[in-house]
Amino acid sequence: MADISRFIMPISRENAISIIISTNKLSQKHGMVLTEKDALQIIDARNKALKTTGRIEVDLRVINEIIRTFCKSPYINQANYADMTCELVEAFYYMKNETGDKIGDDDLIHIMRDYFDNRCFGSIELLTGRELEKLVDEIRFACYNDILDDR
Amino acid sequence: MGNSLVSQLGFNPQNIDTNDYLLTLLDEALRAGLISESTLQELQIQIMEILKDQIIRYTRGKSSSIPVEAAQNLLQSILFCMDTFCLGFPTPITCLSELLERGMKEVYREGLALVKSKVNEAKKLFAEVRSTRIQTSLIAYNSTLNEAIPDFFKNYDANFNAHDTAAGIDYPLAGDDVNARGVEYIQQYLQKMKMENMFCRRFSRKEIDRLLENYGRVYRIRYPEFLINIFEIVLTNAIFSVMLGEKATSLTLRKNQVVLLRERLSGLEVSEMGSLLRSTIDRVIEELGIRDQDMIVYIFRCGENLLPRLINAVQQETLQRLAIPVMDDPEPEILFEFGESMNDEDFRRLVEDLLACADPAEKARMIMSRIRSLVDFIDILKADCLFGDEYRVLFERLGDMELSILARVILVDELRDQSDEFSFAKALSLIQISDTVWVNQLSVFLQQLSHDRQQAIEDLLKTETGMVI
Repeated sequence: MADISRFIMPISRENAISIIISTNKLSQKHGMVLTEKDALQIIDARNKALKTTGRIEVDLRVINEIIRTFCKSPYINQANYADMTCELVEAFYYMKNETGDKIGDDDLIHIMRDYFDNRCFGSIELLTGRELEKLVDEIRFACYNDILDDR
Repeated sequence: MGNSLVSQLGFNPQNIDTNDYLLTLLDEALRAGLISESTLQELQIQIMEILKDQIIRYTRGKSSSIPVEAAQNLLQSILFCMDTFCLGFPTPITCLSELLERGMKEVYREGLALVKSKVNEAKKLFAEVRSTRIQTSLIAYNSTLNEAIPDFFKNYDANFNAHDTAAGIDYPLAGDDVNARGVEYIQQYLQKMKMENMFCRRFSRKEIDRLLENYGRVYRIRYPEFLINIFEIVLTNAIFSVMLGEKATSLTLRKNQVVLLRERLSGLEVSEMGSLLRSTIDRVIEELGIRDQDMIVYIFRCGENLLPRLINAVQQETLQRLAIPVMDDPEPEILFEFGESMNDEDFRRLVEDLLACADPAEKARMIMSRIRSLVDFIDILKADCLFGDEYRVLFERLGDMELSILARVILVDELRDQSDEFSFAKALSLIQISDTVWVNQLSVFLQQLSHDRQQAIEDLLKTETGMVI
């Protein structure tokens, strides 16, 4: 059987850095920017999280979307911006697995933001613990559509 | 790319695996210097691009990441389609130049279209298989045609799971290719099944039914429930029939004919037996008027597979288990089953009849003809209506299968504790004297059996069938 690792080429770091830095245009409006060093830290966190969760990703759209969605959160500021982004990226892939891939990327990121701001008050620990558990139960009881409608 | 250049460069087609064609072809081409490292990398990047597109399609654009196992599966599906395209070329070299010219995306697109057209071809083939189906009570044959194959067509997904043979096919073919995958597997399965059907249609249903019933009696099984191949059994008896100078269409062999056959065959060298078998297959094919080349090749291949079993059967004097004879007056058999217990009234009457009878053979006959379930059989053994040697007379009427079932009852602990290294003879030698008469009688009887029968029972005890019972 062909090993998939033969076909997975690492994303070029320069390219990845420039994609992440490009989000500064939006986040600057909220008083936050990422440096090249931050971008590298986020890429490493993403690569590590993909490995840990046993997933394969075809582009960097998720990182981009997480940054664009969470830079508006009241619980994120310049001081914790890069670290929080790394943690949220890790949380995303973890939640993707735990929810059995039943929620699309954009929907999951928006649910995360909603819970992060309104139920967890900025705690990623609560987000990946208590709230994820509830979310998994809700999916199991086919309430996913209701959750999305309520948002 | 001339052939001389290829041979100079050491391109070796033997290094290409038909089940992993594209990748092994590229590896071999790289090894032989027909493509450069950078060309290989470029082709791999193109395959990765296809994988990306497929991941997006698979998640309907809602997710850009998937679990590794799902991605691996998508990759297998892509490569299966590309291999299907590649296998259409007469030589690996022509295939390689086509790959380099067209690029991977086009190869995948064409491969996928080919796979889909093969599904349509397979559907037509299935209609032909259905119209030529053998009328039989063999459950696996019928469920394969009625359920498993239609389920395959319902569930097969050429876009994301082209390599998967999503079908619970039970019926074993005489010459199945278990390495084939996806629609290729179904196609070859249906082609062979059609040939087997066409072969069997040359015999009357009554002849085939009778042969299968005799087969069941010889092996002491209810044949409709077993995974046996009708074509193979029919072909085998047709071959022996012709060896005996009878018509190929006559599947009925008498016991004395089988004895005669064994006597004739035992005087032959192994090589002579092989020649005789091949010339007999030729005569069977000719007599049945088979002209289709594929069918002739298939019959020959399956017929020749008989040789090692034939040599063994002649040497072991077990030809009657290969050349199935008519079992004119079958002994009443006990085929233990759950759910067929006697009612209390019938059971009580049997006990009374047994107690009133003094002839051990008659008592054994009564039990064999009236009891159908293991539970009833053991209840009779416990009912104090057999005495002394009467147990032995009864046990002598049992076949290896029934004895193995009873042995399983008395050796249940040993079988459980030594599941890997269980030895029947050893377990019998260590069995403790029991308070129960029938257990002691059975244990003594089993210990006195020949080594061959003990071995046969041990084999049955180790089989899954035995475990289920």
